[in-house]
Amino acid sequence: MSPPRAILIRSMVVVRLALILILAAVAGAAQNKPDFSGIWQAVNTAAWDLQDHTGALGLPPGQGVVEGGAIPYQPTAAAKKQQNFTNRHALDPTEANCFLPGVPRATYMPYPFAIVQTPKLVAITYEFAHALRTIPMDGSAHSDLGDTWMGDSRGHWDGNTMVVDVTNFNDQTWFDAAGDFHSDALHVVERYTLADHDHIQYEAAIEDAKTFTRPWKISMPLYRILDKNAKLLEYECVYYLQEERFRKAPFK
Amino acid sequence: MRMKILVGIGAVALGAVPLAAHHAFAAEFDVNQPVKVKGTITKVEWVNPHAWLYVDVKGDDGKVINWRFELGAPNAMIRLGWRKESVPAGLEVSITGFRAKSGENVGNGRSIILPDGRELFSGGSGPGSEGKQ
Amino acid sequence: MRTRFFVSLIFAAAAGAQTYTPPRTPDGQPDLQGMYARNGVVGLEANPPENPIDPGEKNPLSVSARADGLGPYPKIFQQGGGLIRQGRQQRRTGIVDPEDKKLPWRPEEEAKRRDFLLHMNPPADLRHVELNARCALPGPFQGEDGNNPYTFLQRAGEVLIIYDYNHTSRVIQLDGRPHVGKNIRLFMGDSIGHWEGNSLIADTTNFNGRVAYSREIPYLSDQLHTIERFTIADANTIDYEVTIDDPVLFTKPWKVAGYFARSPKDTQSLEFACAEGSQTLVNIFGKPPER
Repeated sequence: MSPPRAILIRSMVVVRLALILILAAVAGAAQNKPDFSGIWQAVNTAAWDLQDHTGALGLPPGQGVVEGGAIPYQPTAAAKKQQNFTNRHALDPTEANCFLPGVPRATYMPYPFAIVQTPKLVAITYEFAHALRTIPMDGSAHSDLGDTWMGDSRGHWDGNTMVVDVTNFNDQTWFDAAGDFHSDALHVVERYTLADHDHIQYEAAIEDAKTFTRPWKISMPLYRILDKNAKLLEYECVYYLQEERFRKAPFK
Repeated sequence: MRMKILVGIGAVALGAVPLAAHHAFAAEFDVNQPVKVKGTITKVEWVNPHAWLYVDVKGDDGKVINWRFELGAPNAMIRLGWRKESVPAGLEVSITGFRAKSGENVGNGRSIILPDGRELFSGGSGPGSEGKQ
Repeated sequence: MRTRFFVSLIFAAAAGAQTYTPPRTPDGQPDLQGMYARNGVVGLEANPPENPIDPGEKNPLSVSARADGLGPYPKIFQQGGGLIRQGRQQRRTGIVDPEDKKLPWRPEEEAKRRDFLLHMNPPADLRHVELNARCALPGPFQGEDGNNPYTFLQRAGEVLIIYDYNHTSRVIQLDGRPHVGKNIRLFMGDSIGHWEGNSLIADTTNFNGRVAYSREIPYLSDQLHTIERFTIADANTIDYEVTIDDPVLFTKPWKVAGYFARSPKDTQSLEFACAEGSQTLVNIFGKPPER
């Protein structure tokens, strides 16, 4: 075979290969993001108290998950936090009434949650109180409906990090069982990054100009549940609480 | 203008009731105790499974009593264009409905009559709450 | 994209002119993802007991089954099922087997059911309060159809069904695992499934004996076993049929049909927080003592 012809054939092969690779890349582009699907759980004591805390009966000790150590309350809010803490057994909406834990508390409740990731929509289902979040990944704007317990979530990619912007909160949830709270101006930005197949590095940035002097952040690893045939079961907190409170009903 | 007010002539439905009304009316309310009160809205709880309307009502003795009325599910009402701002505090209304079996100042709201005479149906679980009878 | 095109061609050829060929998910399942309104899944049994918990209502469904445009359901629902037009076809709804809608109750269980209903107005105790009124998980049958949409999501090994109603969800596992052990009881049951052509078949067990079928059938037993068929009929419709096999209450299984109609594109999923705003138990029973 003459050299020019060989070169011609080789270059045609290269061009064909390039075309195939380009087509494959285009087809695969949408699928080229990390997949967070699976069952996960936080292994820390953030649900009891986001900040450093000593052990007590029923309270596991823990180092805090707040970057910088302390939650930067405004003075009146700091006083309210103290009142919340003192009366937490009656006032904690989640521990006392089984109400939805809000975001980010739902992430670190001591119960597993499942991420189901599809290109346009990510769903997170939580075993605790069957809490649910749906996170459109389609670039849509937040809804105009406020007053929600779990927020309105909209996600997008920042490289390999899934960023979720959460707004439209009511002021009814606490961040933990120690009385840490927020107003309806709460704005949370979560970042989910796969450290490796079985670990997510999770961050939540908290902004609430009515409650805090500045934005602040929490971060923690999330661990994949590797047990065989793992699945979410039901922790129907409200139902169990009703069984206890209304066992001797009627009351009048 | 953010507040949506349904403009209409005559009766306007506040919400379509879902296929199975969330739960039975008769467990809590008494169809044999119809009530009608007139007063000022003090608060709206725009919550599922039922929105609640709180109304200050002046009794015959001049005392003001706060009544609360159960309406339909906000999610149903929202999908029809209603918002919490549609029933603001301060609005003078008449409410018809059915009293709670407990005898308290609680009712299942059937309809709300606005100051201009328009009647809005609650979309709640009581008889006639869809506005047609 | 090219792969999908070729796969669709092959399936279209194999399926023939009449059958709809849905697109496929990346892992090869027929794709039924999206948001839908559910219709017709609960139907009226023939000769239901006098409905004691809505004594003013002759037809227990009539509170919502108005044929006057206020609800999405036409008159047919006042008869508790039948045929509805969706897309190009009539679709089956309500109880479809037995055809006479006389459910095969065991007589002693039917008597217990009637007695239970009589104690629901007013509720004699907590146990006689409808689960819907308690903001409990609705099980497979209830779920506030029509105004509260359903969303289907798929990934390798599972189908997730999300109900806006009470932020409910259920997973149908497609990875060949067995059911969970018999001492785990669930409101939504435990579902394992597989695809047969365009039909997702889900086998569900491990119910907890508290789940209602309808207002007239306020509980099904913990021996309930359901087999559901979700059949992709066209781009906007999933036909649904469930076989209800409860050997404690009934002498044989019976079947209910319905369908899911794809929601309009701008339909929003809305949070339905239930327990957080519910005053029902306090209104019925009064305030419980402090803990």
